[in-house]
Amino acid sequence: MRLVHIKGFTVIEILVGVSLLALIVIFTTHSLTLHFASGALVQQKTKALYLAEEGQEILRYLRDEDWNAITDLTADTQYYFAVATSTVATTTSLELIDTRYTRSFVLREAYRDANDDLVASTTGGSSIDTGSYIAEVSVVWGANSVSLDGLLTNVFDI
Amino acid sequence: MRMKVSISQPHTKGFSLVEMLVYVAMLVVVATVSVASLISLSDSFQQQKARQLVVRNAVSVTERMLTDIRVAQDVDQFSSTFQATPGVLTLVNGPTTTAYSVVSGVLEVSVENESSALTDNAVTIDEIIFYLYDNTVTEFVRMQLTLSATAGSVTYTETFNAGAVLRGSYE
Repeated sequence: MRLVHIKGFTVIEILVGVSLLALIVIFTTHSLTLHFASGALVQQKTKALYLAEEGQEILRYLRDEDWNAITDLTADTQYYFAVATSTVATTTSLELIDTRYTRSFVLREAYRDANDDLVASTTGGSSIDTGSYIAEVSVVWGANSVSLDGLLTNVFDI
Repeated sequence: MRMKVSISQPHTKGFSLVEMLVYVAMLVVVATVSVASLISLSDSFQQQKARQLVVRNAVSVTERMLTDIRVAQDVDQFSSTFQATPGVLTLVNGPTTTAYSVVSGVLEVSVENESSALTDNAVTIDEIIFYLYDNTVTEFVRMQLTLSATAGSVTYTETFNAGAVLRGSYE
């Protein structure tokens, strides 16, 4: 009888062993899944940030052509870009890139204080700078998004 | 005596056919699940490796080109290919001419006729298209870059879009 108890494993020992192994496998699989998911997110964000940066450059290009192209737009309203092979423009129809990424922009009034520094609209004594806008370009895909802010100024005073 | 022993013992020693069938079936299930998850894990690793190669090369190429486009004064339209792949972009900055082109899947930059590769051999440039916009005040260059990388049996392909205004083109 004694010999039987010394040899082999009891049910509890096996249960503990199997549960430990299962825990290790679950943790490893979970962290690997997270690792792969973050790799995919890095790729998507890289692509989206270049699209947003390109959006800021398109606005700068339109600003250079004619400041009225910017002032004709309504502040705090969502617009999109119409990108053709040799012309770019702003539009109210959705721009979907690679069937997944939606790029849009919003112009916000730029508020300045007595020192001409940019401040929040809620700051006392601030006034709207009619020669500037803050452009916010956003790229949205699935549940993710990136956003880039830039200041557009009427440099050529057209 | 012999008969008695051989008849009474077989039932306690060894496994019955049913037991063996159950064990083998369980082993097959466990082995199938483990092998399947190992294969998918290996696929995921290869996918990750290929994706990292594509992103790393895309970022280094795009940053380099955006910087060059920003400082450039003009685009040499006669030495460039727009709206077609493989595109060629020739930028003029004072006396320096910088040209980007694809030679057998590798993106090359040529500064003053000195060529060097910008992408490593593990990735292939499938497509590169340049677009030029000119509003008589400024010039704006957009590019569309499609790269692919292969790791094991997995090929990863992705397209990146980027663009910049030529700061040196302000008139």
